[in-house]
Amino acid sequence: MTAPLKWERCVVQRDSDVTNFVNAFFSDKQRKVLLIAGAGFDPRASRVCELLSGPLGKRLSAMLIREERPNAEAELCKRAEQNLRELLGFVPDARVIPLNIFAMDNAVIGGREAVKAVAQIPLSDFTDVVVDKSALSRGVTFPVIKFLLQSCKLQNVHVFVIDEPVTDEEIFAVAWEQASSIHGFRGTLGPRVGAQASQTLVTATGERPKFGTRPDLQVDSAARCLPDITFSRIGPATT
Amino acid sequence: MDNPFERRATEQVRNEEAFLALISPDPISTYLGKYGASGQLYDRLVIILGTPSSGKTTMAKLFEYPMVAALLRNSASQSHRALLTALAECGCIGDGRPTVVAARLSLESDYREIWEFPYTEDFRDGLLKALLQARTVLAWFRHLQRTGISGADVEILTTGGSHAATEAIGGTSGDKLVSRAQEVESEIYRIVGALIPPSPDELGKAVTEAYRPFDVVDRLIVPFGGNGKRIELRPLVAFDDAHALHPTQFRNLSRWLVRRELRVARWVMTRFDVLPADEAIGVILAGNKGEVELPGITTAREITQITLQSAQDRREQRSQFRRMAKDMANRYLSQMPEFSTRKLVSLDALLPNEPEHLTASKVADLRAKLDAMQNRLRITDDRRRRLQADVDDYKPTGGGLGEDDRLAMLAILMHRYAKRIPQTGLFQENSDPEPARPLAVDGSVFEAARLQLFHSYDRAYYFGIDDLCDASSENAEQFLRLAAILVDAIATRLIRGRPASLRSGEQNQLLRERAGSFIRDWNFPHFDYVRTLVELIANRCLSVSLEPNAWIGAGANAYGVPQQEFEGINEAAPDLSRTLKYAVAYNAITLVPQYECKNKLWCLLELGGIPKVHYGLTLKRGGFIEGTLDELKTYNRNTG
Repeated sequence: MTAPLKWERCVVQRDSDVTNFVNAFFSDKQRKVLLIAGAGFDPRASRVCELLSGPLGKRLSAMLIREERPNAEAELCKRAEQNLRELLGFVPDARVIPLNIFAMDNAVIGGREAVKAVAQIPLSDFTDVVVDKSALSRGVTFPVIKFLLQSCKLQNVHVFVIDEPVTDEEIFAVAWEQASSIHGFRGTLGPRVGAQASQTLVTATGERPKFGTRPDLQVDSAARCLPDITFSRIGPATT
Repeated sequence: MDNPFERRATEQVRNEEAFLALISPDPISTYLGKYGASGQLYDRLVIILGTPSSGKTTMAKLFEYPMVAALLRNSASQSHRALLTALAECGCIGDGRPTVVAARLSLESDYREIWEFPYTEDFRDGLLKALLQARTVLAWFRHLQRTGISGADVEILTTGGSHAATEAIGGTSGDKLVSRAQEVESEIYRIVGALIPPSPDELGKAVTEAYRPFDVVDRLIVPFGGNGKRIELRPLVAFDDAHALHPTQFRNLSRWLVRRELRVARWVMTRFDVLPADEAIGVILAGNKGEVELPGITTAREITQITLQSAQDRREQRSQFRRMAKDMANRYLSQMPEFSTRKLVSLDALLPNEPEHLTASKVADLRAKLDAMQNRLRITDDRRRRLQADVDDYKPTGGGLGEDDRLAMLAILMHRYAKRIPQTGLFQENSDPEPARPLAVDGSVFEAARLQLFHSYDRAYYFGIDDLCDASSENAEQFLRLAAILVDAIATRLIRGRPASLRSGEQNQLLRERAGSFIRDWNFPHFDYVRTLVELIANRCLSVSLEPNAWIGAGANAYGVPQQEFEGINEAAPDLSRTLKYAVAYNAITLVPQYECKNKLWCLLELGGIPKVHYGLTLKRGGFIEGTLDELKTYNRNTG
């Protein structure tokens, strides 16, 4: 018998079900939750934290990742500071982790660094780990979630997303010149051994080579959004 | 319609014969010939530096065993003769047999990751070297396999050193060498692909045990021909895209490969941006001196350094590139049925170098402006006639003067005249003093007139194959991408049954469109800073170039900083130095050091061909605006 696919054992919820789930599930006093979220300029950064802090109160810990990129625009830094203040208002003793997305020689190291940071947290102190990927980049979220799915033997893993395409459209990725796979998702792309098989490379690229937001970014409308989707793996992991 | 000009030959053409049909032998002879003849390509570390798409990969790929074998297979073909000669000149072929088994390894993926592992620097270096050696061995054998030589048919001739070292690489049989290399590669790849690398204690033997094929392998003995004959091949590895390594990895790699005892021929091919900004600029300033000191490595005599773009012999480089580009274009055209079936295999002939002159109404407008100018400058009719006669005497190379040219040149001369007579002379009725210095009518006046007509009346300025070549900044891919839009337009004309040649106006418009889109699409590190810098320099050059008396001649396209001042750039303006490094690496700017003008030495920041075309500047070299490092520093900002 083959092992079930990872998502087959996940619960997916949307819209108001998310709020109901949070209020019901996290009100349990036994639950100690680690939130891993972005603390950048994205207007959605603090919404999930706010939502969780209600039922969890002091049972909520957080690791707030500040993705650092070279030559970030002053306006974006200002917004990031503001988001961080809000987040710390909900979880005052949160750990703030500045994370360099690029090394000094411009190599992309964000994913590897993120996993390294998460690996230092004693996950056994928690019953649940929540990753809010709304304000984190793909290259950071994917390795972190993969690491958590492998490491959380007894903890539940929840992934929250505020799905707001309008805001996503307004955020431009910093495209780098060299195509690379997301850290931990290389598969068998590299080895020469048995390289006879054909490989199809599906790339995810930034739409525009620009980092930043347009001045007319709708901060308020995004900040009011509720999480649209959660994926939760409830129960111990199986191999 | 498949337009081969739109794709990169080396990366997308997999069939050897098809690849060879596209390759021009010129760069091989030019850059590698002399080093190959003296053996310097094989007996020491060779570092090849060049901008992206300057042909580094193509060169390496041409040396790969299947390519050499295909060339020898088709040696009777007329079209391959020149390539065969070029490779023979380089010592890659001798007596009609291959002498080298080469493999190209792109360092773009995996290798940089090793630098991030939580191990000591020595151990990380060891992993990098082991992975490089394992993959090189596998690549040699893969190439041999492609020509029908299996691992079992290959025997290794060792350097005769330690028996243990030979055992550690799998022995002297080709099969065993391959199997050991596969084992090492798989084990290291497991670490590279891991989310969190294992601790050193958890690493397998394949990784921690000594594995040094480059120290052991001297020659590969392989069957050649059908009569059981065996030949010795010198193994060669070309580490391509070495700029993807961490700078320290790059240095350590170079130090390792520089060792004389290595018998494997080794090339490292990289862009300038692998080096820190100061060193990158230092290398450009040093140019191609054969054996120069590589930054960070003291054993300079052990290295052959080949710079594909250097500040020396620029005139020769330009004409060399024109030759190569035309040859390449013709090879590409002959791949396109729309052209080859019509025997249209010369791009030169399809891009006429004849200007379209202004219409009669525009000429009338120009003449009216000239009359008004004559009155304003108080130039007598007699003086105007004499100036006009001087203009009429001028014969430009390869063509005559149109009425528009004559009028625009006369306008420039009238302004020059007005500047060279005493100011009082202007206010005396019918005064016609002689100018302080005689007025010469030469190519620079003609070029300046062309530029002014372009900006004032939109007369075509960039046309003909030479302009196309010069706009490419001696970069093959840039040339192909610029040419692609012209070739597309010609193909469309052919399909519609119209004459194939593109009018100068069309060429001009298409080239400018494409140059604009290149600059909009810039997406390299710090491109926004580079774009601002380029734009500020270009705007200043343009305003000087369009001065009515055209004192700068054909026009300016460079910014000059006194050489001595420029040499302090790394201390005085490190941020500017970094921007400049990428500007140079990506052909936005060319550094021309030690440029002598007005009894002073300058370092010129000459705009690349694409910015020149985009901003409407001359492609002729030499005209520059004088500036200072301090002023240039203020240009280094992001206004994107």
